[in-house]
Amino acid sequence: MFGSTVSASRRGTRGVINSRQSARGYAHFRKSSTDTARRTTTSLHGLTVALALLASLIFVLTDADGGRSATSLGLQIFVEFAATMGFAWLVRGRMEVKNETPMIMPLLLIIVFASLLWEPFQRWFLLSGRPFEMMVMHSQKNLMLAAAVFGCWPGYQRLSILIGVSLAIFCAAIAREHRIQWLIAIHGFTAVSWMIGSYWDTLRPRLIAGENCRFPLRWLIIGPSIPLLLLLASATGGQAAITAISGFLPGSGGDGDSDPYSRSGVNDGDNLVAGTDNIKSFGPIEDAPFAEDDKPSLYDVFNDSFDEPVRRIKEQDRSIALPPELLAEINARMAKSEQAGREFSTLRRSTKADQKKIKDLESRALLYVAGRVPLHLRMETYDVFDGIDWFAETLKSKPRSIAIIPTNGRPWLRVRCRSRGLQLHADPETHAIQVINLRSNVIPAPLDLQALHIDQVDRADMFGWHSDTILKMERKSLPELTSIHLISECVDRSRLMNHEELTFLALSDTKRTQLPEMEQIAAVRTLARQWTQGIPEGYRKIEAICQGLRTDYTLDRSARVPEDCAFPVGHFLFNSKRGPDYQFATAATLMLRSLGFSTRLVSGFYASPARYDVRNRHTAVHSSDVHFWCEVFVGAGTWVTLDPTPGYEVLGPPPGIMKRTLSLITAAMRWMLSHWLIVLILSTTLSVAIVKRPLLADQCNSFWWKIAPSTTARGRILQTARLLDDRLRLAGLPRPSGVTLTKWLRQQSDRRSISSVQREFLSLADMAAYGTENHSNAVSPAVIEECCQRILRDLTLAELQRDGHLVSGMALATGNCS
Amino acid sequence: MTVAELSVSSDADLASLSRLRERLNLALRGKADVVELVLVCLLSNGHLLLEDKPGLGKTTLAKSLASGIGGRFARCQCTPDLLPSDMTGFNIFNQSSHEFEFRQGPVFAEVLLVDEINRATPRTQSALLEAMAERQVTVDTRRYTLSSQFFVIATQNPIDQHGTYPLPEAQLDRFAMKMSVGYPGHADEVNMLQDAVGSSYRVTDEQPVLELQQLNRIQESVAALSVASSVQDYLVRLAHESRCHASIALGLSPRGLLTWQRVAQSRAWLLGRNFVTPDDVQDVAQPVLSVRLGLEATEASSVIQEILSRVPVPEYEA
Repeated sequence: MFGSTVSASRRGTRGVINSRQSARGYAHFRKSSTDTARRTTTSLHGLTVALALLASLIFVLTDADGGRSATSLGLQIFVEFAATMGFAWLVRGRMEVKNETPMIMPLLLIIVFASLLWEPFQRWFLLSGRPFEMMVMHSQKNLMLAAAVFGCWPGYQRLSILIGVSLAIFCAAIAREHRIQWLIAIHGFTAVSWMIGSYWDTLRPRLIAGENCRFPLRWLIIGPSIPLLLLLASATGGQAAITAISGFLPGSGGDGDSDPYSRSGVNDGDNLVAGTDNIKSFGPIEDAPFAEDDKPSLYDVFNDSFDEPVRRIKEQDRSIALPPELLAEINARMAKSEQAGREFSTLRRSTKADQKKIKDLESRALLYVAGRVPLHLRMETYDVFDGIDWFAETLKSKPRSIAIIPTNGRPWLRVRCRSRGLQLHADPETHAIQVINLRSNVIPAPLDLQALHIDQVDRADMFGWHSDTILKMERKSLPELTSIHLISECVDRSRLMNHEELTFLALSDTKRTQLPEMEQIAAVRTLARQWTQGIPEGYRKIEAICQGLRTDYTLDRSARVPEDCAFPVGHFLFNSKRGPDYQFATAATLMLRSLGFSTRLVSGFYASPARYDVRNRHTAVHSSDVHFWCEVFVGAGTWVTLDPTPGYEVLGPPPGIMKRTLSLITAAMRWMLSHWLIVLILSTTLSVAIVKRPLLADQCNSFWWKIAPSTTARGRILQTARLLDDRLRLAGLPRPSGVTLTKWLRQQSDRRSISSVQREFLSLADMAAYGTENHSNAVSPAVIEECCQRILRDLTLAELQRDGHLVSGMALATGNCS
Repeated sequence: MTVAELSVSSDADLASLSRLRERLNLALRGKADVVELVLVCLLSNGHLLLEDKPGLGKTTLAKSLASGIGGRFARCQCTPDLLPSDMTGFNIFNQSSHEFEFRQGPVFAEVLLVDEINRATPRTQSALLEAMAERQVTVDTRRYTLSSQFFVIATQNPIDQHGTYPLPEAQLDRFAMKMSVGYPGHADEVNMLQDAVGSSYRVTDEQPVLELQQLNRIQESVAALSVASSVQDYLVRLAHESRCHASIALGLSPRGLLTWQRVAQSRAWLLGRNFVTPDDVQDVAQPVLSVRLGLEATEASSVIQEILSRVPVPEYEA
């Protein structure tokens, strides 16, 4: 009786154990099956490791910044590569048998802290150190490599990629070497591929297998190609494309912090030495010392650029060219004027003696302009012209009032606007000007200056009027290296063109409509009328004059009229048809005056878009950028800048997003037109490749099949089966993932009888794929090779494509029927 | 050695089986695919459930099979008053020897046709359970071993459901396959009519074409047929998919998985191959799964097809 009880209880215990074991076994079964789904594919893991290593390489190179020997760098990179790849391989191998262990997270934390703790050690014992951001990034780099090692779990994989991308962005911001930028571009390209691959990896289990769920290889390539194309456009599209693209991208600035371990930056920290004697570097410093030096004045720049004027017996000529009342005023002006260069002669002598000075000046910018270019910076305006000389405008007795009005805590000098009845102006423009190398107290500024700001200059009596529309500082010259901020308005030409109310009334002041009294003026007037014939009154006439000069005449800065010429503009207009910019400006001024407009000549500097420095975001103005243009009065107190010189543009309102895009497209088209042969060849090749891509792909596959045969007989059969599988896919008969090749080919062959070659190959393929090694070894390699070759000859791509068309045609027909 | 010479199944065995196939095809006209599956089921040592309307040749098929393999044939017409002992056998008191002696029931035959199994009471049905699963019966605490080739062909009528006891899931899992015979084609029915003219009844006492020992040997060689790990992995993934499928309440059990592999092996053997391909697994999926997954007959086919299409077959990789 006892025995039976014992045995019963034992049996009971065993029963419990059995049920527990089976439960555990079942749980394990469930767990492992879900783990299979959660694990990432080997290729994605490999890509992650590659990306992590690339990011690490970028960071190490950026960190070294050319300051370490190639050997030590190479050693570090090699050790990192070997360690990461080795560990990743080990983990991947172990993962097949073991599941995620809870020790990974602490291990990662240890790596982060060990990297951070290394820094104090380095600073105290090795007497070298890294700046804070490098220290943090270094620990992040190690974390990234470790996470990549454990990348077989998607969580660690994403962590690794995230750190890698932020490292690459960080390095892109601070790296100085070009090859690093290339590496970063490759990293970006690969990272986009990873993103698509990873998305596909999570998507795949949710797809219904019957649907066409091939790996989206084309998107893997097209996706990263889009940013690459943009990059390419910015690299080859020239200035216009860069300006257009940079408008979409954010910028960054610096702050005032400094760190003894810092590498470089906006602020030089303790290394900054106050440059009192010789400032070599240029930086946007607001409080640079006001240093004096031998700087060229505007007059010197004129002479350097346009040679010296020919001095003649003025009284005699002028008495001919100017009416008596004006002549008297000019004489009075000349007597009063103590400043040289307030008149400009259009008659100049060719002197090539001292070229050195010009070159010397050429190498150094006179001033820098930050803000949108092209910009016409006015230095002097001229109203009276005697046929040879232009006379600068003088200050009226009652100039416009100026006052300092603090705005946002900064002193802004406000210029009181004249009342303007016309809504011609676009939104205000902001520019900053930094005088480097010019001795002048005249503030170079665009037309319609609204406000002006120099840091810490908060007294209005520091400023004065140079002429009616040009401001100056009440000191010998402008403060050097100091930013002068300007707010101005520019005229929107499209509004001007369509403005009905414009009267273009000439001013009552005759000085701006006065033509020199010469015989050739009649010819000038005739030419002007000829050019504007049939064009309605208004701004279109002005445009027509400028256009005429731009198209029919050639800019030649070295062209000079004969020294005995009494009317140099006449010579330019009717004889030589080429000349420097002042001849263009003078000609435009005279022709517009002959049509009844009020005009004036302006000299100053032209900030050319060609000189725009993308990196520093400013435009240098050199002595060769001294320029002449004219302004025309359009009524209601409004003057408009005109530039009749070919190749010079006038600043318009900022382009909108449409215009920007359009200019990008235009730049791309222009590039394509200029490289039409390459574009033609490339596009033809590309379109042929796209149309014939199945054939190309199959040829590549077959070629690979031929040149790299598998070593084993079984491998060779499987290789052939894969090639056949690819061929079916290329022919538009992709094998669904749930169907074997054998069954799929038989289904396709329903339309024609399956050949003995196919039958033989399919049984071989099944044997190679699902039989044991002994089975495949039983067949002689020669038989296998022959069978493989025959099947590839039997099922060519062309034949399969015919079947593919048949299938789609049948599908279409049944679709129509239903 | 050429490709054609790769089969492991011996020629004699295959010849015997093709004779059996011919005989079954004669008995059941125009149903070569059904006959093929019956043979697969026989070689995999599993039991067969035929679900179809009356008069489609289910009994004929079972009897031909029994006569073909040279075993004993027994049949059992199930009714609600059928007792377990009517199936298994019972002890009877012998007046002359004054001892109880055991009278064997129909389960001691090699081929047992259980007609209209769903008309038997659950008690009787469960008596069959032990016989089918373990090939033994226990009567009055004594255990009797059945023939190792014991093969049950059960039929059930899907139309008339009044007074029936639907088979429980546990019972269904003991069957290797379920299938329906279906009506023969037009030409086959004409042939059948022509054959019937002049003969008063079907000749049944034919000579067996397959000896029991031979069948036993074949079944052993089927069980020994190699299955690649990739194919086994494929089977497990299919089972997992059936457990995850939204319209399946009861996924494939590990026992069902084992049966599936055996049935696939037997199909591979019949095709003269010595390894199992995913095609073998797919070809027997319908009969193997439809008996197990508790699906309505109308949706079973599409659900099984969906499971098969969702799981990718093993790639052609070394």
